[in-house]
Amino acid sequence: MSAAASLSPSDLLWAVAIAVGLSFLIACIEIPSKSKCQLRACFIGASLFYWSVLSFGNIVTTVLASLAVVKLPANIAPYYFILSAFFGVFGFETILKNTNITMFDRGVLTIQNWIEKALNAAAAAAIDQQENLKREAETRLVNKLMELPEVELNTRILHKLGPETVSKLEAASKASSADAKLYKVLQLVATLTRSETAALLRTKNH
Amino acid sequence: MSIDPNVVVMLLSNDVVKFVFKEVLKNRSVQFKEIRESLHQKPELQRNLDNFKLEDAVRKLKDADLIKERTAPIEDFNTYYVTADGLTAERQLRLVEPLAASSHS
Repeated sequence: MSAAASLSPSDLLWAVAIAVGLSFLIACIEIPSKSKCQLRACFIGASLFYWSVLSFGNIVTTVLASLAVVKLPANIAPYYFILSAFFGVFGFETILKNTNITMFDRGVLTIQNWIEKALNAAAAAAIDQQENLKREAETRLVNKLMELPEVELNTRILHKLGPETVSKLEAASKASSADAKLYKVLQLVATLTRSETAALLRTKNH
Repeated sequence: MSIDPNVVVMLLSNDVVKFVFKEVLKNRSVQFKEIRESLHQKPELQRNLDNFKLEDAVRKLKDADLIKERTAPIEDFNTYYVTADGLTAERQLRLVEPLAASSHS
């Protein structure tokens, strides 16, 4: 039984679809890892661009890999499309990272640089988005905590940040001629975890 | 992909600027208050602060587009976070720093 010269169009389409899917998975791992942001802050336009660049490279190498995969034993022919996508995506880094686009014998831009530039842009946009989300939550929380009586606010600070913190914060705000209550609220908000922030936003003031 | 060499020189030549940049890079965003508190734990950098203020270091990084500022009602709670150029500079700094250190020794 002789091996086919190339994948059937439907198998090739499946291989490309898997490569695009794996590119999405890689983007979902790399952008939050680079930006140190939550995944939900990463679903933005710049991430789509990074995914597109990554997909383009992975599709090219998947198509190239499919030409080699068909030379494997014919008894694994039903899995050629999966192997093409696998070798294409995971071979992408090793093949293209070392490929230079040169002009007049000078390296212009390596594919690695293209991808890194797109990743940096996506990560920076995710950080920006994360800061916007944080600002929204903090603003709501600050407004909510400012409504509390000062005694209750001090109790919360004592519970969260320990003894003497209230007096230290009041002294620091006085030294800077700042609003003591707002300074204490901002400090408390800055130290709250994500779950504590969410819980506080859900509670109603008396 | 590279950033202005003058920016890299600025980061390498000024310890306070480099320290502030690294503090922002650590968690990608940091409050002004936290930078100041970290700086207090570095006595070797305290001497440099006499003629070079923390605010100047932050302004230099903002001017170089390495960090962005999110203002708060009180300056201490201003947040600084890294930009795409800042992430590029991080990589360049990682490559250049050992060379700069070996040339000094």
